[in-house]
Amino acid sequence: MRARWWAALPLAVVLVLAASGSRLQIYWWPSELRDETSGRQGEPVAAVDVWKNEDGEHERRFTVTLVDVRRAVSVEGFDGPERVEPAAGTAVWEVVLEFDVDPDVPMGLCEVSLIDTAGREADARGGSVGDVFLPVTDCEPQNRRGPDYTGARDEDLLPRLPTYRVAEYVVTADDAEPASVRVWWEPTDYVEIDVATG
Amino acid sequence: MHAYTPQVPGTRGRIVVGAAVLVLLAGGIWVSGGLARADQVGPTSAAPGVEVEATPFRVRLDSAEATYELSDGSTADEGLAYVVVAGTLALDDDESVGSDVLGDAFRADLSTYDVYGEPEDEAEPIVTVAGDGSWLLGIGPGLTYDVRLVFEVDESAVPGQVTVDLAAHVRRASSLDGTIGWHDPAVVSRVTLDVSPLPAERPDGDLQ
Amino acid sequence: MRARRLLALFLVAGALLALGAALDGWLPGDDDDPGSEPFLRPAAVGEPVRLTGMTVEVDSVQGSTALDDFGTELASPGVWVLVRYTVTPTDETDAIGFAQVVDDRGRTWSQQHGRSSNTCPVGPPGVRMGCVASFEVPSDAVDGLRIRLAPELEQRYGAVADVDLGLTDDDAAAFSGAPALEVPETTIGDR
Repeated sequence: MRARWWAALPLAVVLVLAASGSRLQIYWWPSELRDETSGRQGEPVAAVDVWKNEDGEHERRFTVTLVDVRRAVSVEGFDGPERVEPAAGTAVWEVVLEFDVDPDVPMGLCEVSLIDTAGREADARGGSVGDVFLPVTDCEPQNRRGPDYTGARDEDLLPRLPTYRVAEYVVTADDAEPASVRVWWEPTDYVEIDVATG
Repeated sequence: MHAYTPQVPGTRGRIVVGAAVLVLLAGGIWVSGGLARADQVGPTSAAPGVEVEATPFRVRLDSAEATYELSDGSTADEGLAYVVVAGTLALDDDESVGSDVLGDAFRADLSTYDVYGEPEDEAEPIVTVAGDGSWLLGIGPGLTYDVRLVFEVDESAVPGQVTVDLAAHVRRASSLDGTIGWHDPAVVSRVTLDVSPLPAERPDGDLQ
Repeated sequence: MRARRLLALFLVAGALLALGAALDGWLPGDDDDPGSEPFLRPAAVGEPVRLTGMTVEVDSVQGSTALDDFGTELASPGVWVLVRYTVTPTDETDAIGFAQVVDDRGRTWSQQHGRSSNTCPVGPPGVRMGCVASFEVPSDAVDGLRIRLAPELEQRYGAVADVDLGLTDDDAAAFSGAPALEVPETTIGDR
């Protein structure tokens, strides 16, 4: 039987298209905060946060309590307390968190944000308010530190206590009404604690 | 039943096959971008004061000097000095480019230190604007700058001459993310300049 | 018979090659970047523009042949154009990360290229952030110059504000005689 030469045509067309190099591009959306551990102000929230380094995956187990969210009055400056005077149109909040965690667990480089009743999310970012510098966001006290992510610890500083409080500072629009506080390190885990109303 | 008899194609068959092969060849050449002269091998020498096309830049290198002090007032650390090449620089394209592309356009036959004081594998200058000594981190279209290419060297290793290699880039898509940019710098021109010697004394500057 | 079949085969092959060449020009090739065309939102100075996650408004534009950079005067072979603009993030802490000027010939001068810069600190949602961008351009670019502003440096998939700075050749001439521009501080909150 004679081979039908034109039977190869569909295959040939496909090969031509492939050879012309049409570009298929697949974009991976960055991973987002998806895995929520939730709680309410005043109640300890037990959480497990996964972090990765070249040694693989690690777990950070801790309990965090949202103690208070209030307008910041002053921050600790170089020479003592400095009055916080928010710029027109803004408000500065002090978010007090209490952590319960093993002193050998790294807690550095955390992120904190304040979500208002309109659903807007403002990050705690330090920076300056007028001439006053807001402390950078930190989930462990300045003078008592746990290890970093390589396992090393600054031996000049005292070790962290199992229970401690830290204050984070967030600048928001002046009409923001705090609704919840979010704490995270890297996607996808995060803790979200509702602010008490009234 | 049809017996299969191998046949040598006749003359007419040969002409047909020949023509078809030519069609294929022509089509193949057309698809692959046409005939082009092979690129010249090796960079050319350019004299000082001659403008060179180092795509996407137009560069003219005029002179070189060794000095302890730059026009922004900074002075070389103890044991170090600068070789400064003076010239002009413009961009021959409609889109501004960054310091990565500009930096890859110049190399010199010097042993240099980077901005952190670390020895560099390749002598890449800091491109500065003559007069105020401000750093030119890339360049935009339509602007011709008087520039000073700054190389930091050992004071004891200041040469009598410096050869600056000028490289041309190729415009193509990045193999990483497909964005169009300037890539594959290759030396197209070499300029050798006499280096005016260091002054007898360091200027009285701030001590560390 | 055999020659005719061969001819048919070669002609089809040739036709397919031609089809391939034609498609090569039609499909995205090495030099094209079809996903990269930004979505431009034209506006004038003083007109707010909604972008993804923020509103931006150009407030003012000044020009001179010199820029005062922390006490050092940077003289330009062209002119300096200084643009002040306001960003109000909508939902999250954000800023304008991409700033570029474009002339009517389509030439572009981007932040961080040459001596051009854009300073726009991140701000919280609902707060007006005062930002500053400065660009060095040739005098012949001034007439019809536009500024493009977007949240991300990588602005392939979002909207970009395309603001006509309202400049003319008369302004370019005036810039030559203007005193060195002082770069203002960025601001947070209402002014």
